[in-house]
Amino acid sequence: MSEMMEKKPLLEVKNLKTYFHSAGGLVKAVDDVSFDVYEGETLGIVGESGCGKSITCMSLARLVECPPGKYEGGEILFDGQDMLKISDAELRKIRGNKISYIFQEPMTSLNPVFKIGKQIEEVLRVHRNMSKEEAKKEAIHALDLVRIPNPERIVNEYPFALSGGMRQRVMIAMALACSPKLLVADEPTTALDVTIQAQVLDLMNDLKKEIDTSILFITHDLSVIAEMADRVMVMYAGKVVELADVNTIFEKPLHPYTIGLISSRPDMSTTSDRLNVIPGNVPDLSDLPTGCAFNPRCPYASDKCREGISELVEVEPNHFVRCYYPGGEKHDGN
Amino acid sequence: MTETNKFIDVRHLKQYFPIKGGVFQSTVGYVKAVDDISFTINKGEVMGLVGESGCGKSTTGRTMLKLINPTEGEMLYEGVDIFKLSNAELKKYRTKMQIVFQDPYSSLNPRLPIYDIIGEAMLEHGIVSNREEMMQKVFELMDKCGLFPEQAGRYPHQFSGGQRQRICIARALALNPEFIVCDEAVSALDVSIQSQIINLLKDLQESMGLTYLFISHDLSVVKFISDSVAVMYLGEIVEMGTKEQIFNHYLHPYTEALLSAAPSFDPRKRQNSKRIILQGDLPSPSNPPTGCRFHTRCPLANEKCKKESPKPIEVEPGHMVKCHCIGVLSE
Repeated sequence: MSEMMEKKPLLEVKNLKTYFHSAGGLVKAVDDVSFDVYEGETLGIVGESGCGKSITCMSLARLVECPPGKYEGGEILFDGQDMLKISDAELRKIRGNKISYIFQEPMTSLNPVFKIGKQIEEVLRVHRNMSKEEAKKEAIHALDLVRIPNPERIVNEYPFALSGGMRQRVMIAMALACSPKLLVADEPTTALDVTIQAQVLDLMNDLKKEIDTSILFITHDLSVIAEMADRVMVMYAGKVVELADVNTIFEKPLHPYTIGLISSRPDMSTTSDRLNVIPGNVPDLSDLPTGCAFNPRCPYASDKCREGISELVEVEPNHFVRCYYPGGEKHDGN
Repeated sequence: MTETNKFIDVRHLKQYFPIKGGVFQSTVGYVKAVDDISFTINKGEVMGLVGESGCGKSTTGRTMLKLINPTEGEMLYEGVDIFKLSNAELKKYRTKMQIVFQDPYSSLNPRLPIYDIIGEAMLEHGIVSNREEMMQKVFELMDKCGLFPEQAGRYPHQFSGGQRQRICIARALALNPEFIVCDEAVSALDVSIQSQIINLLKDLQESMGLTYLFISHDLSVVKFISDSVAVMYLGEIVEMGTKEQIFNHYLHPYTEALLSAAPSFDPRKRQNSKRIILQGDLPSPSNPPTGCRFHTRCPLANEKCKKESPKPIEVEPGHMVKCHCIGVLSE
């Protein structure tokens, strides 16, 4: 922990608000989200569909389409610059160069009509001003780095000729081609089979050591988080509800939602007869309950929770929770 | 095991899909989606079927219910081969066997209100005689599946994913079935909703004495719900046994790799765990490797594995393994 405190944050997100003005009303997809990513660490963001985890990450490089989206406030300090204030030209120098992305579905993120090599070379030629020959050599090297067999042959293939796992490796190669400082991986293994997922996670862990990049890892799968993250941020209905290091999150979760999530998942060592359950449904962001958005599903909710929402409080060193009753502690009245 | 004990008995089931090619669209080959598999499920038990995408697990489920015509093999339901029945006879059996699909968005008709979705089949099969009786039954089913009966007049788009899956389950239960195929029934749902549906499936199974074939790629879910487990690879069952045998005394290298590939839930385990990472991808089922189908990715493969397909061996009562290298793993 102390080691982490000395490291300086690479990315500081402060009170970020990304809203959508849709026909159905105002959707606060990212509502007052603050977090830091330190150099060399992996921060995992976990949450269910519609909790705002993907929009948070897309906001970092201003990838959210505006309109209907709108950055309503906050700061994203990356490398000394506020990503929300810089010009488009400056932004283009950062995207794919210092911040790069890997998305869930590799087939839709690759262009089907260009060869693999050409797509990787493009990044290098734009950001590194490489000549065609240099870029091609570098592309082969990048594919080699992600353990693709016969990279010399693969650069001349089209995406359809590769399997899902291979395509995701190509995406990683492309994302890492310019040695980014921050790699944002949005559900990178969700579409893959378990054995292929194991390959890709293993590869990402190896590469992280080799090229020393920070990773922002988004997933709904808690076991993948347990595997990858150094610190974990749990999101619910557009807000950060808990933030702590990975061991704390799994061993001593304090927000009732995190507690519910972790205990509701069947583990390989589960022996009980029934699973614990979080009652109710994932809320609709355009029609949130007042107060804490989790209150209708929360076993500890009181009137206080129905009226207002707690701040994100540091209850222990480096363990932040947004709840009036962290750990479900006893409270008076209803 | 006596003959009567076998509630579902699948024998040498094969499902080949022709590949059409050439000018005249003649058959140039076959995708052997399911290639000679046999297994039995006892009444009131849950059998888990696991494997990677494309291994034929969903095709197995669909073929068993004759939603697709089988290429070869038998499917005995309480001793009756349902593949040999005429359509009229089959209709009687249709009520006893139901299926719940993965995607509750595409498996519900968007233009029908919930009461019709759930009740339609009851009228068709004469389980209820009129609409009042049907509505009564629909309300009961909705209540049983954790839905509010007053929402019966709504349409599928007005429900969330988890609720839609509850509707699919209510629909499957409408005909008082005995056997339900759950084809990745919880995979598309959010984590907190998944556990609700798993509990619902388990409750219904216990209270109604249902038998499930539970198809899933998620090993921890299968371990939670199943009594017995079959592991499929490229259209074949490579290992099958009780939950205990598969998860604690597995013998096939593929089962070992699958179990090891599933990420652990404990962040402290990752530093010292030795994980087996399989090399390469799943080969195409239209052109499976010769010999043992797993040999291209198997860490134990030898010359024999490349040439000769292993025969299924029953190492213990109920524990079947298809591998030339049985015993190597434990050493």
